[in-house]
Amino acid sequence: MSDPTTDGAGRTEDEIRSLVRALILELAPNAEAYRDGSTNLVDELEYHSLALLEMAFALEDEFELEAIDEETARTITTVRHVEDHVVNALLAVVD
Amino acid sequence: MTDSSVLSWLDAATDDRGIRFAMDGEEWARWPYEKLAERTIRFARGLARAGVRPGDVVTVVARSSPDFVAALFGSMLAGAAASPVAPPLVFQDPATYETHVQGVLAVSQPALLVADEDLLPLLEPIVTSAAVRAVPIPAVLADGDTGAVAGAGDTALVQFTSGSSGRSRGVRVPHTALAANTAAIRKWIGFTTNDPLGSWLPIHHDMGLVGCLVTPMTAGTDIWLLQPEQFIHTPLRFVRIFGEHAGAVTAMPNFGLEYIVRKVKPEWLEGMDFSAWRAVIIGAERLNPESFARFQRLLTPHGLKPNAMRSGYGLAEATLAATGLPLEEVWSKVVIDPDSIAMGQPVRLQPAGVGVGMVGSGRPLSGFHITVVDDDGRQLPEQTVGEIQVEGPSVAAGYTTTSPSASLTSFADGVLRTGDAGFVVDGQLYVLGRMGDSMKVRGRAVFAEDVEAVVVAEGVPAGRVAAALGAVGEEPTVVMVFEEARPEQLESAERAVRRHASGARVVIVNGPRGTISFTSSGKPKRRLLWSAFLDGTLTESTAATSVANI
Repeated sequence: MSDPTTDGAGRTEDEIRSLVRALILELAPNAEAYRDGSTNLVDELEYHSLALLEMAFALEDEFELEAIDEETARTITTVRHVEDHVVNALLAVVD
Repeated sequence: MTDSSVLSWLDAATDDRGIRFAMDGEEWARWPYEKLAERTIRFARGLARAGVRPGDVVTVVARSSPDFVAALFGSMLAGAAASPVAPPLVFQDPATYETHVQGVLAVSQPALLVADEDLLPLLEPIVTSAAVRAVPIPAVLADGDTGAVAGAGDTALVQFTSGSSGRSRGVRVPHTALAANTAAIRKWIGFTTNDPLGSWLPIHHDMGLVGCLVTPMTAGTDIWLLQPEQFIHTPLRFVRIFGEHAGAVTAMPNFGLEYIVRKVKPEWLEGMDFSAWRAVIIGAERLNPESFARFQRLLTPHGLKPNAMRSGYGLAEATLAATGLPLEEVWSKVVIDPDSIAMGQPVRLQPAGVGVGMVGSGRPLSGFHITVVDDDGRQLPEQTVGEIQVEGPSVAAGYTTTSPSASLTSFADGVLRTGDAGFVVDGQLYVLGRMGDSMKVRGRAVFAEDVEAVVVAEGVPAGRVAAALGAVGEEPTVVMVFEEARPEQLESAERAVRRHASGARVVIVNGPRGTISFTSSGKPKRRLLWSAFLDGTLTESTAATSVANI
């Protein structure tokens, strides 16, 4: 039985969030604009379409996620949205 | 039947050469030219049956695929002009895409839109509001069993400048221009039937369309095509075309070099041989000598030759290429004093190497004449900054509409005033980029008029704001000049500009009345503002508050 508060690799939600944040900022064209979770990916971190793709692929690799569908992609506009997406995907598969 | 040289590949098509389309995973789908030719003829017949007549425009919205090739050349074979439009990228904002396609349809007035079947639901509301008929490409093909084809008309392509947002400008490319440009590129590179070309560029405009699809097809060589998403996902797959399959030619913007260097680990290249890669054509964005050097450091240990790097300069209005670095030459750079960049003034070269490095964009291709001119069109001497003017056999016929352009680019009697600034050193062209009215960010054109429009929409009075756009070093930059704007206006305007020109540096200047001068027709003199910004007089002498975001 695995602990429902960690993912398959034993990472807590906080740890996942901070890993996701680090990856977003590493790939952000303008990481200096980061304030908090509500920082906008496009308007503030200046993500353009190819950079967004790069981030999505990097997240899939890092966390072994399923490819993100277009519908979900359109609802993701802030750093926190990305964190939530990854957290939900990882903690949802643990039972 | 095939009375245009860009359609001559249809008659010469064999099954030993063709196009490989990247599928999911590691797979490539190989399509011999013979099969692509059959599909093209089938599409042309189907189009005639669908009511398309010679002289019409056919909009093609499709991914890189045999269907795209058939629709592109089939439209031409039916006597129509093909107008390719890129499908939306995965993360593209649907509203932005819709506006873009609406603009494209409004200026190109197609008789028919053909698309990949799965894209039609997305396009439905757009074509309905534009009253354009849309059909899936497979349906046109299914109708093409028999029938006659009209053969090439006058116009081959209605080409849209790279992914431009807002105002769309369709460039009418005659068959003669397309044939002349592909011939000039073939001659420049010395293309043979055994020069496989690999590309990840979108196949919907200039560099990807003319340079990496039409030109190698007219040369009869093999082509390997990835979609941009596939390159971003696995850049190694692109590199393998050259390291494992003897790929010889590619073209991409400077960004591509940077991305490969950043993502491809040197140890992944063990066992690869890049000695057949003889033309890495780099253009479309500012050429950075550091990127060239880093790319060479990665691949030279695996056989990349010193003279493989080929810079070039071109634009959709010249069909594609106008200059290129000759095969026998190795790329070179100059280091300039950025403070010396002003229209009509000599550029100071810095032998000591402190300044901004620039890679030369080569020399005029065969049949082209490149001059650097002042505002009155008079030729300027070498090492003097002016506007690049292109004359040659592939200068396009003009824009599809005659309404005032969002750009300074203009055509007059086969002479193209590009709106790009540059200078010549030792006969080689150095491109500084747009002169205030537009810039490119990651291959996407951003126009000053559109930036001004989003600011006015935020409540800043028109006539009190102007945008000057260009590149500082390699950095795309928006200089927003306001006259006595209130702090809250500046704040909301800045946010809107950042959203519109995402990826560019945004500099806000708020000056007193009179900071912006206007032409007699009421247009802001953006080139003047841009020059003033570059030489420092704008921020220093007139800025009341200056918010520079670096």
